[in-house]
Order: sequence, then structure tokens, then C-alpha cells
Amino acid sequence: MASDPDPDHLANLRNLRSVVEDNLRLQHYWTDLTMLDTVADVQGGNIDGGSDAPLLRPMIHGRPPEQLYDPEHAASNSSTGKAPKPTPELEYVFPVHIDELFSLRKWAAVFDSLPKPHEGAERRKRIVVAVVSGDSTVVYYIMHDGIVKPRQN
Amino acid sequence: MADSTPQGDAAVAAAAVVSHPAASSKPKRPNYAVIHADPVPVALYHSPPLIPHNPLSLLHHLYLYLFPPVSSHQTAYTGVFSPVTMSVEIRDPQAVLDLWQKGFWGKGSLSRSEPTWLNRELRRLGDTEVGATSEEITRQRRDQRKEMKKERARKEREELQKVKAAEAKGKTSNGSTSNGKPVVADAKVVVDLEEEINGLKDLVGGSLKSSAQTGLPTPPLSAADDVETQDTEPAAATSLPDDATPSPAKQSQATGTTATPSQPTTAVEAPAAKETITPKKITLENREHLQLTFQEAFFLAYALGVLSIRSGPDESPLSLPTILRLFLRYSSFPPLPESSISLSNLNPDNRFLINYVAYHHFRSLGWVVKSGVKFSVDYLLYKRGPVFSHAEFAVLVIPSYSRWEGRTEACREWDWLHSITRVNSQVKKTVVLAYVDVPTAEDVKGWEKEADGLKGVFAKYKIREVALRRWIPGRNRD
Amino acid sequence: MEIHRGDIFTALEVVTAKPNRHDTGYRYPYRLHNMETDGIDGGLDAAADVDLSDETQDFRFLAAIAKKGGGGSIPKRGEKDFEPDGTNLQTTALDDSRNAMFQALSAERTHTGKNRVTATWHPARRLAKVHEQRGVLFKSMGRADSTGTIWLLPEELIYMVERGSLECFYDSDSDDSSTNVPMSVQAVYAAALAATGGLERYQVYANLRRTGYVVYRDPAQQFDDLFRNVGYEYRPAEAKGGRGWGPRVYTWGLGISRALFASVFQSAWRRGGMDPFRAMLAPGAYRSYREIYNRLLIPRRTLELPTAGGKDPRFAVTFHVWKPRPNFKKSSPGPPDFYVSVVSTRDTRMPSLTQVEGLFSEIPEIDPAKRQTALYQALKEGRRNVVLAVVDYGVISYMRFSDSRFNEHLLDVDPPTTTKSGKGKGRAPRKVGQGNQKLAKK
Repeated sequence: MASDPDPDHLANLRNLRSVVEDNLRLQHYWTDLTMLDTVADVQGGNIDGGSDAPLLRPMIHGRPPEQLYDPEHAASNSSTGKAPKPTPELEYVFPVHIDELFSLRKWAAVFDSLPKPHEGAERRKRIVVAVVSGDSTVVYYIMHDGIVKPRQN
Repeated sequence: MADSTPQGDAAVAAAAVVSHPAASSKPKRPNYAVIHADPVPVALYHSPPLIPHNPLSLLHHLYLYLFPPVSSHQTAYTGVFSPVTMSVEIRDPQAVLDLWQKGFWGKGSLSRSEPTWLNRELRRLGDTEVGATSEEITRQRRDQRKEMKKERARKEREELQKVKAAEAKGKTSNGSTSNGKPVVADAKVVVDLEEEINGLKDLVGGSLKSSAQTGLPTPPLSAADDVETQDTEPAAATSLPDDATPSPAKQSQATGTTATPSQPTTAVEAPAAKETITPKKITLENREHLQLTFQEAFFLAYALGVLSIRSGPDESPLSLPTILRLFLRYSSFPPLPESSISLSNLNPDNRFLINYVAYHHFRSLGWVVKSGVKFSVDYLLYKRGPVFSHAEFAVLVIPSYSRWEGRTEACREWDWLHSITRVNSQVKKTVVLAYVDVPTAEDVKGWEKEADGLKGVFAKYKIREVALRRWIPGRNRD
Repeated sequence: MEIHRGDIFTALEVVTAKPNRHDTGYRYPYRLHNMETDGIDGGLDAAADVDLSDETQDFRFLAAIAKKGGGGSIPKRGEKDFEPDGTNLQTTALDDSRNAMFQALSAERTHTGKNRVTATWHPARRLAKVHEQRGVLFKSMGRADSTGTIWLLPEELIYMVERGSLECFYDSDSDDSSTNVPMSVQAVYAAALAATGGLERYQVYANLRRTGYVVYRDPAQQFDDLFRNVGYEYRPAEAKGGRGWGPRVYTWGLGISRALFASVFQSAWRRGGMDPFRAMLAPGAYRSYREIYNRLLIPRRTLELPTAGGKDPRFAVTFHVWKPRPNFKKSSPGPPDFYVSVVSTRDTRMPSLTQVEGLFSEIPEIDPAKRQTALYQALKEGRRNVVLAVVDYGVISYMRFSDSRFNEHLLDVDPPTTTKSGKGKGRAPRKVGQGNQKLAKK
């Protein structure tokens, strides 16, 4: 994981994140929000002795009020019908600014930095990208590592 | 954002909301033509009528002409530059209301367009005196759509089970005749559901009664609010009975409002129900501000001269040169280094300047210009404003460098344009390429000594619009 | 929470007709309008610019047509299934559709002797000489020289050979056609494609012809004198005079004289010194919002474009196109309905401003009397427009580029009731008067 040496830029990225944090908390009623800054933050309690090396970029971990659409579980969810709603999964939110350019390599690095639920398991395959623009709009995209089944209209 | 938020003076009591007058029998839309009569936050001067053959009248007018009453407009509003949100924030409630009503400036930082966060939050917490907001209405519509899809999926699954069961029984035959399989999903279910929803719409026909009465305009949902929206008529934007809104209704059920969506008739506001509601008033700090983009802020500050901008709530107003420097710097992310910004050696190829020129161009022609980020364009153009009609035009600002010698134009690929026109045709918008031909640094050199000043700089950008439309051979033969 | 979903790949296209549902089109409940495309009825999609012919079809309708002998009802378009559902029913439907397509393709194409048309390809002249013209195609193709001999352009030749309407021979330096060599379709491509101006141009030509249009090259693109005289005015009359792009000051609406006078006068009088950041709207008494807006307008000098590089030949009008009409006369077709410029994604990107202006400069403006008057329509149609046929390795996307001129339409900013100064009556946008041109100049 590449660390960003420029403290000014880190401050900018933290600013960006604070915009997204407010937006998630106050406009979209997300809960359990944690700010992730280091590798140890991301890994949480899963792995002992996590590194305090900075993340590629500051991220947010949190719980949406309703389960976000998940292509991998879409099929099973739709067939359960009116079962009681399970607690929404926690999501990783990755703030970016609308004027930024990203390469595939950069995205791959973001995904590679995601934690594994437990030792030996596969890492998470998706993030929520939060695109911030100057009029205060935050547009959210689910980004998945690899190809997933499209959503039925 | 907390580090720059002035918490102290931002608290707004819900008491500011006018209480609910007696319900009239016919719900009405707010009179937007009155609420939004002024296109800019500048008061007009209403002079006595000019009587051409009366010399006194003529003199009076000549006097006014030469010595206009300066008080007609002043820097009436104060905004705070925020490096965090990269914008200018307005927190004074009166300024927020004025700027929204007179020209639709800015956007509620926690809302889709008009700042409604406080109202939403109050309703969520059970306040009974606040009207439904457009966000709630959108939510309802989406929930209904979700339900409809769920129902459709269920029907499809059932049909599929039937087909499979039949085939398992060995009845694989071509029982269905020549043209293949029978209907898997029952279209009728979908149609019925849809009619039901339309019926709901008709019943409450654009009623935003409570919000109209509180004097808090709630705009109809514009397409800008919802990529999925297919409504073309603003009047058709659904508004559903307040009682049917999810959370507040649930919370107030104990007190007697029990209209369910399946009983739309009872949902039309019943005055009787009113009396059984225990009024509940809640005081809450407003965490939302009106956020002006740099383009909007500069138009208000420089072109209209009605906005002063500070770097903090207690700081003194910044000068226009300082504001311009800030905006030039923060025009990209990460912000440009301080040292790279020079006003005397102005670099015309700055994203703020280019976007501002385009913004100013359309604003000065009378359009209401809003961000087009949700439609992958730079600006949306509204005639009169978003509460009146959907944006017809979606503008892409394309910088052009025909005067920059030796500079090759970095044009986008065709597929980029195709995807944008496709997205916008789905929401019935016309994509407009606004080419902004950028002058060279040489072209604008010495601008601060010219009579026209900054205006002269802007005049050196050339603008040319090209409207795009997908052309389908099969549909243009007449 | 909004989630904008990017489709990572498109739905598996298993297309099967569901004839008992096509007339409702309600599968997508919020797309209500029926639409028609390429003669195939039935609607799933409301968006006016969505072309269903882009999508894979259920070819079983072909079998239905074959059974009925070609006539009868127009086949209805089916609906996509989302994914394989594991039923035999679906599999059978898919197989049926595929077989119907193969069957249609495998049908033998025959020609009757009395309609047989022959021509000889003359490589030196890059035209084909028709031996005897027969059939309706010649109403809008080919051109007769002074001796009455009909000549075909290479694209016309290939198109007719592709359709099976013409048999082509190679000119072997002899006037006796009996000694000429018959050409296969491949041979015709090999001989004539380059002379059409390239594969992309031919693809667009054939696509438009098949859709029913009459298509001729822009006269400037003709290489043979015979075809250069088109019998109608095709160039913008003042194109060479630099109309539209000359050093002209954009003009603004009524009342600008006062605004200009006032701003110059007031600023000089009151402020004394010069402030480059002077607010555009000086404090004062404004009686209408029109007055205020007039001061916000920035008179913009239209700059002359550098002509050094000249026009980009990749962005030029390729074809003049006429809608199908029964009384079309190739000798006097009248002005075309559309101007089409063929560009390839291989060697172009979106046009730059210079390229767009170069392209527009080739096209005459729409007669002012015939222009749209409603605001949105006028802006969408523009003063003139050109259809770009963007060819991406065989896939053609047509896009109309219109010269919009927003600056010629000032929106009304005063409420209809406050017509104090007689300005701002009604809500209709007003045209900018040409008569005020001099006032805008400083």
C-alpha cells in the first residue's frame, strides 16, 4: 500500500472525507461510522498487530439504514420474500473529488487494501465510492472488484 | 466539516415555522410564480410613472437617472468561504430563504436542492407542524417502485415454477403454439399496481398543502433530483398524503392518524384527524447550510454585488481580488499551490474562469443554471427555475484553445459523448456542448489597467453552443 | 441513499417474442410511450432517442413472414428475458429464433431475366457505365452524360451489386461488353470501395439508402465533373464572406443603449477611478429585471478563427440526403433535407471548436421564415445543423449537431404583471434585433 507523503494533500483528503461523513450521517442516516486512516484501522480486530502505516487514502466504515444492493446476494435475497430484514452489512466508503482522475491500477490498490473478514477468507470485493462536488452533491456508486451479474430492471 | 462549522449562531428553532392554519378543502400547490417572482436577489425601484408631457415628472426621472437611490441594493448577504467543502456557505436563515427564492442560488448541503434538512429532521422526530419535503416524496415513490418490482419478481417466480413443474411432468411439448412461451410475468399485475399509484397521484393531485401553508415552498421533484424519474410534467411530480409518509405516520399512529396507502381516499387530509393530533414542537440545531458553488458565489459577489464573502464567520469581508485568488486556487482538487496564482499574470486557462464564463453566459441570458453532476454534465439550464419545469438542456463545458499556438486540442473520445447523450436522452434532456475558447495569457495581459477590468477578461472568452441530438434514420423519413 | 449503478456488462440477451404482451409494453412501468422503429412496432422504451434496432431481435418473426408470403402484418418486437431460466420453453424459443434467422439467410435469391441490369466498371474513370437502365433505383441513382449513357458512382454500383440488382463486368479495354470479365461481389468491393472514399463512407451510404433516403455526395466530394453539377444551391451564399464568424459583435436586446450609457456614465461619474473588480451591476434604481440583466450581459467580440491550418478534411460534409418522396427528380432534387458528415472513430475524436465551425461553415443557414419559433425547438434546431455519422468499426451512430446560438434568445426575466416600462411582456423569449447592432459596439 502506497502511503501519501504529502501532509497537505492528506489534509485535503481528510476534508473531503469529513464532507462525506456529514452527508452519510445527516442526510442518509448511516450509523456506526468509523474513520479509517491506517492499516490497523481497516483490519480492526481481525488481525493482531496491524500496521499503523497510513492507508492509501482515508476511508469510512459504516452501516447504511438499509442493506445496499449487493449483486452477489441479490438472487438469494429476492427469493426469501417477506422474511424479517437482517441487519444491513457494514460498508467501506471511499471519498473522491469529482475533479480527480483514477487509473485502474489505483482502484486495484484500493481493493487490495480491503480487509479479510477472518484469516484465510477472501477480502471484501466492493466499496462505495462517494464522489463529492462543489455544489455539495455527493453521488454514491457501488464499485465491485471484477464482473458481477447486472441488476434486473 | 465540523472544524469549520460555526455552530453557535446556526441553531434555528422549529418555532420559526409558521403553525398550521385550518385546512382548506382543496389542496393547492404553492404559488411558485409569486414565491419566485424575482429572478435575482435585487429589489426593483418602483418610481412614480413617467408622464412625458409633464416637465416635473421628466425632471424627476432625469434626476433618478443620474443620481439613482443607491440603497436599492447593497451587499445584503454574507457567506463564508470553506476550504473543506470548497464552496461558499450561507447560514443566515433569511439569506438562505432569499437566495433560494430569488433565483435558486445554491443547494442545501444535506438536501437535493432546496434546503429542507431541518424540516425533514423535525418530521422524523415527530414534529407535527412541518410539511412534507420533496425528499420524502421521492422516497415514497421509490419505495412504491421497489414494491412494484418485488411484486413483479414474485409473479415471475411463480410462473417460472409452474412452467418448470409442467416440464418436469413430461409435458415439455409445444403446448404453447408457434410463437413460443407464455407470459412469464403477469403484465396485468404491474399495470394494476401502476394504476393504483396513478390513482393516488390523482387523488392528492400535486398537493403540498401543508408546505404551502407554512410558506415553505417545496419544489416538485425535478428530473435533476432523480435519475430514474421519467415524469416530464412538473405538475405530475407525485406528492403523497402526508399521513402516508413512513416514519412520522408510524410515530403518530398512537394519536390517531391512521390512513394507510391502500385507502387513498382517507389519506386526503381529513380536518377531523387534525384535532386528535397532539401538537408536538421540537427545537433542533440546523446542521445544514446553503452551499454556493464558486461560480454562483462569484456571480453574486462580483456581477450583482450583493454578497460579501468572509474566511470565517467573525472575519471581515474579503476583497474581490482575494476572493478571485481563492477561487482560482480551489478550482481543482487538490487545490493549486498558492504561489501559482497571480492576478497580474492571470492564467486564463483556469477551470474556475472557464466554468464561470459559461455560468455567467447562461445566467445573464436569463437561465437558471444548476449543477449537472448527476447527469454527468457540467450544468443544467432551467427556464425560470427548477420548481417550474424540468431542465431541458444539459450543458457540457468544453474548453477550446484555438488561440493557443502549438497546443493540440485534447478532445474527448466519441464513446464518452455517446454515453452522456444516452444518459440524458433517457431523462429527455438535450445535451449542449458549450465550447469556451480560452484566450492566451498574452491576450489578457494588463487587464487590471483596462477600463473594463475583469469584465473585459471574461469578454475575451468566446462561447459557442452546439445542441446535440441522436438522429435515427428510421424516424426522420416523415 | 442514491446508488447509481453502472452496468458492468449488459444483460444476457435472450430475446423472445411475447406477442400477447407487446401491446402493453408495461414491463417497465415508468416507460410508457409506445414507439416505432424501422417499421417494427411495439414499445418498451419511452426515450425518444433510443433506437430499438440496436438490439438483438427475435428472428422468429421472419418465419412468420415467410409463412404468410411476405405480406400481412408488421412483425412485433419481443421482449428480453433477463437470464436463462433453465426451462425447456426458453431454450426452445431461443433455438426457434436462431433457426428462423438461418432459414431467412439461406433462402436463395433469384433474378428474373427481364429485370437484369448490367454495367461495366471503368477503373480509370472510377465510374460504372450502365448498359441499359431498368428499375426504380435509377430514379435516384446514376447520371446521364451528354450522349445519354448512364454512369454510376462507385457507392451506387456496390450498393446495387450488394442488393443483387445489378451484375457488373470489368472493363478490359474493349468497347465490346461481351469480352468483359464478370465480377463477383468481392471483386466489386476490391475494385470500387476505395473510390467511395473509404469503407465508413460506404457503410453510411448503404445504411441511409436501405432506410429509404436518397443520398448524393456533397459536390465538393465528387471526383467526376459529371456529378458536380447538382442543380440546386448548396453552399451558404456568404460562406466566403465569413458570415457568422466574422469580426462581429454579438448584439443584445432592446434597452441596451440605456444600459450601456448608464454603466459607462455612472461609473465614470461616481467612482472616478477605475476598479477592475467593479461590480457589473452598479448600485442604482432599476425599474425592471430586464434592465438589470442587460447590465450583466458581456458583449463578446467574436474572434476570427486562425485559418492557418485550414479546414479539417475529416470534418466536412460528405453526403446530401433527401427524405424519400415519390416525386424525387435527380436532375432537380431541390435543397437536401440533411447534411451528413461521415467520421470514423479510428481517426477522429469529438470535434474541437475549430472543427465544428469549419463544418458549420459549409452548411447554409435555415431560412429565417422556416425556423422554429418555440424557444426549445429553436435552440435544438439551431440556425443550421449537420448530422454526424460516427462510424465505430461498422457500428454507425448518427448525431445531429445544431448551431444553437443561445445568445439570440433572451429569456424573459420580469413577471408578466410588472410591465412597467413596456418591456418584458409575456414570457416568450424575444429575438435580439439586428437593428441594435451598432449600439452594442463601443
